[in-house]
Amino acid sequence: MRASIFFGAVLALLVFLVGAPAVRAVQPPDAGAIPFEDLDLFPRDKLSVEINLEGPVLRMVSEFTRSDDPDFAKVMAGLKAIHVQVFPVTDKAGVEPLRPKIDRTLRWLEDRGWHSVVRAREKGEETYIYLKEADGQVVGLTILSIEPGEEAALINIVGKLDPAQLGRIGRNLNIPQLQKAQPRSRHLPETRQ
Amino acid sequence: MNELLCDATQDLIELSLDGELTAEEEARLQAHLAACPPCACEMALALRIRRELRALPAAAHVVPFPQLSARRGSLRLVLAAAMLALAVTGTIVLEQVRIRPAKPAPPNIAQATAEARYALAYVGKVGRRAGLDLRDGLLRRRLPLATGTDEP
Repeated sequence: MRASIFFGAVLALLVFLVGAPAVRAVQPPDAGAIPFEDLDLFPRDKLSVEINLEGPVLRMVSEFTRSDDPDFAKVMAGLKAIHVQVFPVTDKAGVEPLRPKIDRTLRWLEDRGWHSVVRAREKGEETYIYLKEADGQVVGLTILSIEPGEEAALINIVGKLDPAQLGRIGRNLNIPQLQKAQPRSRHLPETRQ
Repeated sequence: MNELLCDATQDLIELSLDGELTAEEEARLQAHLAACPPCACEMALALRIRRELRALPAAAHVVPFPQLSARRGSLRLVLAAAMLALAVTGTIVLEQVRIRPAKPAPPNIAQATAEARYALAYVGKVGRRAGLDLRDGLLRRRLPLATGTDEP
């Protein structure tokens, strides 16, 4: 009897020691996420806006806004991450120095099964919108927007997405008003994980 | 009566739910919650979690412990299996706890809300600029670009 308890305890210890790294290894990366650090599109120390919101924070945001903005809260509840990088493009060279990295980023998306829904260039402005689907559902949205003379932005929204709902809410929000109300949102060097 | 700080309120919320606050402390907590939406949100969340935990169903059935005298071999197996199950469960739970980031403080939630709104506003702005009306589910249908733009 004592031998079997000892055997069981040793076995349990072994499982714990071996299992911990294994459990960590099977945590799958989110299909709709893009690796900002690997793509290294914009120089991080020159960003005018950086937003990194992960699942637990987004769930709290959803709870926080549920009573006064249920549509927004519903969108937040389905999301796993929001990442935004905005880079000022004000010098004469424009985005040309970034061109190789822009091309590499777009190639990265297309090589990994992201669907291009918009590739537009008009009056120097460029807009690229990509969607990632899994099991027939949109699980990621990536937007690369370039406005020469103003700014370039890379946005990645991860989670269960309804683009129509996102668009409806986004249309009702106004960036200048938000900046006025939350000036800190314009300077976000810290990373929220 | 001194005003509570949000950090102190977090501790008091737990104690309040456990019924361990004095009447005066409870009154101070309620006064703070009435004036601080982020902390009120924390309280509502804590209440909800507690309610949902209590609503969990009891075990469907209890497996009777094997007869000691008749099944010593089975008992050893049961003990070994139980320890194994405990180790696996403990490993997963510990990993989840380790992976999970710390809960954000209330002021950070307000900031995060502003940041999330900013991100969605940017999506709306880009959509408008590209001539897309996202209301009609255009993105979902993966249609080509609207007129007035040229492929890069």
